[in-house]
Amino acid sequence: MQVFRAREGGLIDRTRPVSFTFDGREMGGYHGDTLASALLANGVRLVGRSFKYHRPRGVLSAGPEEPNALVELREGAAREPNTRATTAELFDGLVARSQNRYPSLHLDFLSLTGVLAPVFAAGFYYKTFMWPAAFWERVYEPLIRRAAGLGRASGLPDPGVYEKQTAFADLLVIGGGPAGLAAALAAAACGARVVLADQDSALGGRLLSDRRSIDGQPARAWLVMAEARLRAAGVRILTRTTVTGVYDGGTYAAVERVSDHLAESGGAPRQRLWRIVAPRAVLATGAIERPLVFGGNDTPGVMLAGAVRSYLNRYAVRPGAHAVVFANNDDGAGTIADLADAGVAVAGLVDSRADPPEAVRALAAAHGVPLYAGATVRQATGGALLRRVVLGGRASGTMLDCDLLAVSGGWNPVVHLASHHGGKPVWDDAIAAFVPGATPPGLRAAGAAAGRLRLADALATGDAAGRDAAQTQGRAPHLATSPESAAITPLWQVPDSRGKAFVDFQNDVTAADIALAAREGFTAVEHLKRYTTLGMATDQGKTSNATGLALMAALTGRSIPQTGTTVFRPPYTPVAIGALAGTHRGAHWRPTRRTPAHGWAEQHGAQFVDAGEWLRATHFPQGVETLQQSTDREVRTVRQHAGFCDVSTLGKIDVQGPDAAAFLDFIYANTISSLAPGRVRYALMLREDGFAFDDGTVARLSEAHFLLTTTTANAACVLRHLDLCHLVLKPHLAVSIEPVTDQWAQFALAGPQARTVLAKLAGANSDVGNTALPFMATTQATLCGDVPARLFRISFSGELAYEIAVPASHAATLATALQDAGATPYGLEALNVLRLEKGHPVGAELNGQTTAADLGLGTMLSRKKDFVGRALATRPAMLDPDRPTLVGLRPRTPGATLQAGAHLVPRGAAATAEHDQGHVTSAAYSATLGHWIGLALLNGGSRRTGEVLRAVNPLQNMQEEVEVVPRVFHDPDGAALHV
Amino acid sequence: MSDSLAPAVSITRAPPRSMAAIGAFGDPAALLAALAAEFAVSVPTTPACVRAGTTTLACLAPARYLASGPREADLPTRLAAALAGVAAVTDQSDMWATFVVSGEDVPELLARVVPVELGAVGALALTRAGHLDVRICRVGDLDYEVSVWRSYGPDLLHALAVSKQGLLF
Repeated sequence: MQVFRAREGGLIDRTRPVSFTFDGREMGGYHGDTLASALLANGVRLVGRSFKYHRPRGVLSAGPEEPNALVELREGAAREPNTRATTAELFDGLVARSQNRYPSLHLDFLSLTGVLAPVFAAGFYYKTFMWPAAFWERVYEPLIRRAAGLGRASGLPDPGVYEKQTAFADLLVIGGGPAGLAAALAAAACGARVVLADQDSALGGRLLSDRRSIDGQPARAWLVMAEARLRAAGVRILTRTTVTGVYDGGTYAAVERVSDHLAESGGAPRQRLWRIVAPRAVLATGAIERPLVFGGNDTPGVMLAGAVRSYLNRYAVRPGAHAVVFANNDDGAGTIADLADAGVAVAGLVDSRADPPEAVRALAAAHGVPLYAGATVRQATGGALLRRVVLGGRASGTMLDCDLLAVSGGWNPVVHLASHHGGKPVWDDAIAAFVPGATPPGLRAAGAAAGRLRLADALATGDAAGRDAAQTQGRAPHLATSPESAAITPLWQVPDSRGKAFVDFQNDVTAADIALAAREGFTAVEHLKRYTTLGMATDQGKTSNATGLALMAALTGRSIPQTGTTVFRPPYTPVAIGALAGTHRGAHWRPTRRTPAHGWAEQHGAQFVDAGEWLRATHFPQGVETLQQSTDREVRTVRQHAGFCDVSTLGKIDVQGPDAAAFLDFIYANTISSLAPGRVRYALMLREDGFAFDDGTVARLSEAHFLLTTTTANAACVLRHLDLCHLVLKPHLAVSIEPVTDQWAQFALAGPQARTVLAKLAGANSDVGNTALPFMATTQATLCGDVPARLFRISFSGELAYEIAVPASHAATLATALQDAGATPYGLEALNVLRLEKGHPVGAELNGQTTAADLGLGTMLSRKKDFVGRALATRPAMLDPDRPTLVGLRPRTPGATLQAGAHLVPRGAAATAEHDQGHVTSAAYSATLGHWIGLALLNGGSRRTGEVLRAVNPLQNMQEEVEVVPRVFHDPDGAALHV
Repeated sequence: MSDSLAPAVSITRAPPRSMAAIGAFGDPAALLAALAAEFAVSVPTTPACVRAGTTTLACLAPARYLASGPREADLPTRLAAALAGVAAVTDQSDMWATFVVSGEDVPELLARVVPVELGAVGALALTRAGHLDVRICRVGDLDYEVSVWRSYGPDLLHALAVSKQGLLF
């Protein structure tokens, strides 16, 4: 039963009833409700338990600033903790649960922590639980974490769908209240492209909640007219969209809740992350009301006055039956009229000002409400629901029975976005609040966000900001508005209050905690925040920061601006991680590159592995072969017959120009300019710091045309490095650099029969004999009748081998032809074994910490020319003979395995860090040799051939005696290469 | 967005083309003159693309261009001869995956894919589509070409397809 729902009125749709559950109890509401308004309509006042003391808490606000009414929304994987009931729109079938309580909301055993409050004062975790030290990690911290906290994450993958979108505009208006609407109207009328974003489900801001008139008619009529005009002018109106951050270059982030308010998304994204690019923006984010600080001010039933008006006027809900209003300003005091008109008995208006304005006196008199001027509420009592308030000040001793206390300490402009570039807000005495100071470029505040709290001022400043953004002169016709006043006399803390007086409801920070922080010297704002946790967690102190500062100012005898401000950082409200990821999740969290022969490999049974962004074939199992069996067969095939492997992933870069040779001499450590056209050279480049960077081959296709290959992993880095070296270091060289990795499909064809296979493909078109195409030569050829190809006689396997490059669209044709000509496909695993048998370094050895000499390539460093890394490669430490250098390893026990990653320690020494002499970088079973082999980086390794060491892998409890051997295991003379 | 439920967008893979990357060796003016002579068009010097008969000439960066045309045009061979000594010409005919995106809802679709807004027909940008480096060119009022390296083609297609789905909401 919605017993607190008025029979008529409000902006809810009574033709669309909605049912929902809270803690398993079924209730009803209407379309247009929030979860909070529906709970209040059903008489639910206790909604949550507080963070630290587990105190009963109700609904404080009616917006995103809510610190108390946080719930778990939805179920299963879609469960979202810490959802503000005040912004969660009601939908049919909504399931919500209270959080941070055990076993239930009404009976929470953990509320006993309130009794131990003295132990849990500010900074308690720095002072208590100190002994015994070992207990902290295992006992105290887990206990505290369980007792304190908010909701539970589902622990399951987020089933929501998210997307991102960019919008460009001349003007972004942030906030669709009166100021924002006036700004958008003014700018759109001038033809500006405008985006208007509002976090609420409907435009209007406070006009949805307050009974105002504009231009002689109810504000809602003006709202309808304004929205229609904006739509007609082509303004992009984004409701349910919170602008969360201001970034460089007029870029704003915003989260649109596309289907969060729907029972079924129907395939729609849950949220959309907007990137809005606009050179100008109007900050029309309004203001957030401040609570007052007195004992028991967190009792359910104590509610912000503006929120009370929202529930009365927008949702047609009476948040109580017997009300008291406690305010220090005219706006809050005016709430008695809304309450009285809604049929709520008002037991008193407690105005802390000694002499409230005449208008307030008249209002109280008109509604027959007793006015307690110069009085305060000293204490609110009732536990789980407010029953009584005890007055102080001039009305000291008076007690008023009530179940609703509307409080207003004034309004804080929502300045958060204005300070996202580091600009600090400035204090405005007139409204006793911070207003935007230096704002991000192009952003201008208007309306309540600028401290102009009255409706007439909001409309006028919004209009001016809109015109300014559209760069037009003039002013909108003045709109008459109902009379109002924002006069205020600050009251930061009720003197002589009794009981816990909360400043930050969400973090259970009391006035006493702030006093404690001051006594202990944590008077700087940032210290105050971290010591007491004031202003942390999901609400980021939206209702507490200014009050906390004011209290600290009073305690330290400084003014509020002297005390400081806290820095607001994005996001303004919490953002789901999924929204930041967008569509880049699951299989699409990064790109997956496939080689041009991927389809062919798939058809031929290849198994694949991720190699960076690439998918590469690991092996081509036949029948029931295991990975090892398949790899062994592929290795033997290459050593005895002929195999071919897709090496298209290697980076390929075209370097052309009259100065190309000189440029490559500068890039590579060895000399390139001496390479004759038609020849290929193995080449090594260093980083500027002298360490090895990347290796590959350089083919001189013609006098001024080179083709470089890079390792797969470094393809992008090398390209970037070349561009940098050209554009910054050698801009005078006439050279052009183009990536061509994706242009070519490239296969390594290796084995004693390789030439026979290649000759079949070349036919009579091309001579691939040893004379025409000797080792380390390159030529162009036509294969398979009409496929243009580049042939490189180079070998990674140590066999007679070629790399064959054809335009990518011919990949499958070539692979088929190679197989038909007698070659067998082999994968990455066999490729790795073959290179290991020849001792060639790859990524595990070119690990960014090795020098050329470490890799046995020291003699490649030219002494006749300058090149990148040359100077720093000769630092003494780089030449230290005791550096870890690349060696071969063989297990002493036949049949024993070697593991990459194992560390090398002397025989007889303990396997501890002090005895660590290096580690195994690569290891594999050599089908050619019939035992395991490995490469290792071993201290002073080049002098240690024949030594026996222990390879220890404590992670897998494995150790093995190994012998240091030369790193080229197979055909050390390279005889096979030249046949 | 159009009135019908289905988004008014078509995504099709462009047919194979002959493509040649062009990079000046030194003097950009010499390249500009040679290109102007070869194609008889006003050659752009900032990112943009122009049509010259069946060939499209795109300026990617200072003194760097990409020419594309029908497969039979064999632009690499033709341009290597025409620009000898002036610029490097590199065959990239098999290097790119290009998707043609057309229709009334294309601006809304592309707003989900790339963080730029292209100007009039001929506008071109080298930008990011999520994780992908893309080249995007406005070839008609409601026609755009989006290109990535061939191996990224499936990922770009996925990005376009899911963005098209997003247009429904």
